[in-house]
Amino acid sequence: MPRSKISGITDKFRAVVDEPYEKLKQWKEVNKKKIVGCSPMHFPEELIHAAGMLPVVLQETDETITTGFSYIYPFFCGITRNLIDIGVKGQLGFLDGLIYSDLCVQNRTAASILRQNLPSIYVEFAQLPSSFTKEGVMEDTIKELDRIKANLEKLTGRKIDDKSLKQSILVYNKNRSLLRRLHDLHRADPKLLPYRDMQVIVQSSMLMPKEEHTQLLEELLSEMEGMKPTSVKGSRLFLSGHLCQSPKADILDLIEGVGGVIVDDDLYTGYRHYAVDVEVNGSPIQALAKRHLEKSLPVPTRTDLPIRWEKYLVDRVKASKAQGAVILVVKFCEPHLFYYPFIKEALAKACIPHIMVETEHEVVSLEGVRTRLQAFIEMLR
Amino acid sequence: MSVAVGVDIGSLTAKTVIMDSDSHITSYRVIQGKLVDEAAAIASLNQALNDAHLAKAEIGFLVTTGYGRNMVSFGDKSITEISCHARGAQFLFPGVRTVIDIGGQDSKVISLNGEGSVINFAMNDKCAAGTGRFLEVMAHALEVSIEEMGALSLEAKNPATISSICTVFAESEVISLTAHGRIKLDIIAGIHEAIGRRMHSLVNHVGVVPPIVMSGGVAKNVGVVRVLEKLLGTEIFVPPEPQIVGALGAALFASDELKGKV
Repeated sequence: MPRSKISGITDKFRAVVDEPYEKLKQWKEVNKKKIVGCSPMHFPEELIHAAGMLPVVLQETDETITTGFSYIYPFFCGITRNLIDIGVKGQLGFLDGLIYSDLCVQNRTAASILRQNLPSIYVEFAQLPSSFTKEGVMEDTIKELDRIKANLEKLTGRKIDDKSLKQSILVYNKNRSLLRRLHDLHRADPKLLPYRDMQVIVQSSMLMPKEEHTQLLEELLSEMEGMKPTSVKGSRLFLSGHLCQSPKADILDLIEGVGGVIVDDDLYTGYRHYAVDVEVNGSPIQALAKRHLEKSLPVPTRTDLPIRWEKYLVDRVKASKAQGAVILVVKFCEPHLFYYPFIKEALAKACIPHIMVETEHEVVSLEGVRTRLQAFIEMLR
Repeated sequence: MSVAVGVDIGSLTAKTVIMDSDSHITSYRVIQGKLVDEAAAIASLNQALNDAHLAKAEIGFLVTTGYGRNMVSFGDKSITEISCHARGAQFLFPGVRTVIDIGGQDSKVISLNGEGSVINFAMNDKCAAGTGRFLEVMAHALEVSIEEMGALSLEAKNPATISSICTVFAESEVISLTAHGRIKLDIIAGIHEAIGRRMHSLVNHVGVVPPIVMSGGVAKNVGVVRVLEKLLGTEIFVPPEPQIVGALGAALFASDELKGKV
């Protein structure tokens, strides 16, 4: 049965996501290769891959914050506090390198704290320009990527030449194109997979060797493409928010459990992650810089956006034919909360109903969220 | 006879409304229970059936609502209290634009389009401050009954200031004010003003559009209603039995099902 085959493959992805750091430690013992962790969103993993190491995007875990309380303010967002907490407890000690990049003030603080507390690890702060369009940003981006490239070469003892970097770009582009195929399949038939599984597939792509993930993804797609479309009943919803982490599966299950059908998204662990490829012609470093500057989707952690995020969102929601939008905001996410009033106004102006749900690392009252989400769906009918 | 029934299983009380095929309320019951209490829900249903001389077999469709809507073992469909309070309020006050509902442990403000459809809502989803439970704790601290608080507060000459919005801290503040010799009337009035300020902020999330209807157990407290009227600058309409508005809405949805309108 194709369904059971699909479940079998998604279970493999889930096993990686459920215990990300344990699985990575095991992988390192078997493969004897270096692993470099990246903070989410902006750093091009291709550069680490081309140096012969495994790049991974750091994921939030469910662990209760304990030791980390001594290092960081309680009004920092969940993923920042969680990563600092597990970092100072020694759970990230298996990493050979850690690259943070400039997304927000909280992320900058996290890099400093982890640098001090993980002295045996190469900790880098990638100062990639946050502006899309200011004069000189291309040169600055290339310069910064070259600087980090040289440091990665020192770490691994291996030269990153254009040929290997292009090869890595091809590996990553292929994985992104398959994720886009999955996204398109899901968009055409949202009942194919629960959204928690869609998230698991994207999250695992950030944790597994890309080649291995691509192979599993190809198997999954060949099973899914042979399936008959299911009839979609429910209220069509567009999911936006969670700029640098995956929403907890409980929230996604709630949305679907009360009759919502997620038809498209603007999540980091979703369309935002795989929407755009890196060009393969010309200088590969320049191509990475171009993806960062010219091809990035609007996001509030960047400035001088070529198109306002709220306008982009309204266009995407309209294109998805969603009846409403669910905006998932991580508590204390300053860039997102700064932007939310603009989003609220733009959605209202476009007559798109929306509900904002704030999520936290610590347990949220799910029954209250359930009532709000169910009432929102009832309102759309 | 096949009747439509709405059962609202709240955090502190269970309410049942039975409605006949002409959309008339046949009977209703409000039962004080434990926290989300199925036994209280069943008791309110059975007593309302008895009052109307009906047997269980005569229930045509039953909609559950309230915090415990999905936790009880009976019911043909569950609908949120937000939709049900809006529907109930529209039935009692056609053309209502805003419903303020303060129940046992949550409060909500619902915006309607004037024809009964919900267009927006806001809900306290993280803290029970300013709800019925808050009033219960304060009544206990002041050694007065919750029923008399509303009338007592209207006699206050110099309302005290309760600065905390947290139930636990507000209770400490009330005890401290008592120790400083403030009279009960003024403290009760201060408590109502604290609830009013908190609700005012929630109302602003969806906008103040009259006519405004207040439902839920706290609407029985005339002191809170007056404070809110003052803060919002408009009259608030309170139905004779504000606690059954959610169950009434649920019964109306059940009635739709019976009439094949869904």
